[in-house]
Amino acid sequence: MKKYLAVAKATWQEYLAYRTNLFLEVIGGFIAQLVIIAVWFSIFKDLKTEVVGGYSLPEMITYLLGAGIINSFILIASQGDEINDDINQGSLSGFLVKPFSVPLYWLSRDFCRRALTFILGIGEYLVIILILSNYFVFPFSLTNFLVFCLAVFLGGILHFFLFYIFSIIAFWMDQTWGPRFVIRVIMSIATGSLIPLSLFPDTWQLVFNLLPFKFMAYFPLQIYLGKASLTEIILGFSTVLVWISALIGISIWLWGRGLKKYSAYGN
Amino acid sequence: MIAISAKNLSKNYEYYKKVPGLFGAFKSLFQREKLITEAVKSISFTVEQGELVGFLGPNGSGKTSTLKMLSGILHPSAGDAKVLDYTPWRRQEEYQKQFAIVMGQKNQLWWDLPAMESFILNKEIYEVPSDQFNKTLNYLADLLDITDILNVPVRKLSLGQRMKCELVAALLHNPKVLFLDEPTIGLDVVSQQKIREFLKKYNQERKTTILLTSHYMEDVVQLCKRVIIISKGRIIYDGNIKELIDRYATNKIVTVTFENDITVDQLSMFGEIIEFDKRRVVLKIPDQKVKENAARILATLPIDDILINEIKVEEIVRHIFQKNR
Repeated sequence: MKKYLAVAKATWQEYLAYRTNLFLEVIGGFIAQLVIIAVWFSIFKDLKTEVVGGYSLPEMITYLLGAGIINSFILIASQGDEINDDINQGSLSGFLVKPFSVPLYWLSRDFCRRALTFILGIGEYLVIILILSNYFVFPFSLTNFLVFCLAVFLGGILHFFLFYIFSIIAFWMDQTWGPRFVIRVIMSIATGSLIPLSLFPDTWQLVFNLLPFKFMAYFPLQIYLGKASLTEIILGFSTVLVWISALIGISIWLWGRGLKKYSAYGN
Repeated sequence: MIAISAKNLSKNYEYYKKVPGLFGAFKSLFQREKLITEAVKSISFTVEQGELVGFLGPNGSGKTSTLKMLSGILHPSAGDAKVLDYTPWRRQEEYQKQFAIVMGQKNQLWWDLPAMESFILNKEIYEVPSDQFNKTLNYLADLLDITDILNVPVRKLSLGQRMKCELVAALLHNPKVLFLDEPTIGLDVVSQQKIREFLKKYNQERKTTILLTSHYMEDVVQLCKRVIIISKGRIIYDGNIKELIDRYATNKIVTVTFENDITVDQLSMFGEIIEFDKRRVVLKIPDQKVKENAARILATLPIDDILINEIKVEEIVRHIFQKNR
């Protein structure tokens, strides 16, 4: 454990050297979300209605703000480029001779980056929330907020392992940005960060329910807004844990196979 | 005590032939030709604890593949190896804590951070106690004269300084075995010399077993008593450098400077002319004839100066490589 804390500490310092870039990444990621928020303002105005798909205007704005925040520090932050490069450019060789676990090394770095992005973003998030404070809904209850945080955390783990799996395909492919790009495109819709998933037609909802992505933004935000029943929350958490276990299982298996290939072919 | 032993160690790489062009790429989706390169062909050797052995060979001769197998990065295709009684490619932590590898072309230091941060990270990863860490760091930093650059971001260091820091990072856990893959590559002559001096001293003081690859002859001649020459995946010489010289250096190099201009004809009978420049000539003369011919040159020609040298080891090795082509 101490080893990985040391990795996190060094990573922290390394990323601090790039703080301007990380900060711009947060801002950049949020600008798109502000446009979406503007769109929803005019939808509500044009429809002259109080509620769309079960969401009042403040609920919708809060939903989109929350999704934007989650998006900026969890979903955009790290997407496995580094893992891909470490494998393809052979830095992995240097890691393999050391007495530590390389996947845990990557995990520590990844979560360190997420934490730093979040911290760099806090000021910006607060300013935007303040500007839109008339439309900002506070968490349904303190319990809901804490459960929401837990769900966001699990969503982050889910996200890491998903991209980890698609990055260590680098053992077999020269470049893995293709598959990862496809996931990102699917993710931009299926996490619910642009439009709440309940607004989609039933068939689509069925598809989204079979995918793991909704646990990254939609599910936590339902908890935040108090729109998820206790049964839904319990079911959601159970499903997310199954997904995480499955992905961890697959990643361990793939890692073993990949290492075998790496040590057979070299790099 | 034997620190490293390799027995019939072999490494084959399989790959698929790449056909040029778009059509070729498309065709290779369905039909691929498998090719095999034998990088290391059944090599065997042992290294005693505390020995400093040079691993010499041209590019692509299998040096790096061998080191990668010994450090557990690569699985051999056949054969076996033991380092400190461990099988390297099992990658056991107990083994990993007792050896280190420095690859001249790859860095383990974190680029944007001062070297000190990488050292602290290694301290945690290798679980080195603080007092031992401080002691080792001071010793190494003193010896390499880098105390003042420990807090400068690595990207701002010169290549020589970076290499020194790489060495420190690799030695902080006091490894019993050290693999060095081209540690002096790309360095200027002065930096090369400093690294060599350091390695020599470190090996003497710490009794660390060092296996070093290089294609710079000087590295090997200055550091190693024993050299393993490898060419095309096979060991073609394993033994003392002195013996290597005795065995292959059957000629001496005689450089003569004259007071007046001289013609080629006056010289060709003494030996093979390697260089000629009116008043200066370099001759290659077989060992048993050197004394006699030198005396004759002295007696018959207007000599200003005469120098008799051994053939450079570099020459010898080049000769061996060419013979094994």
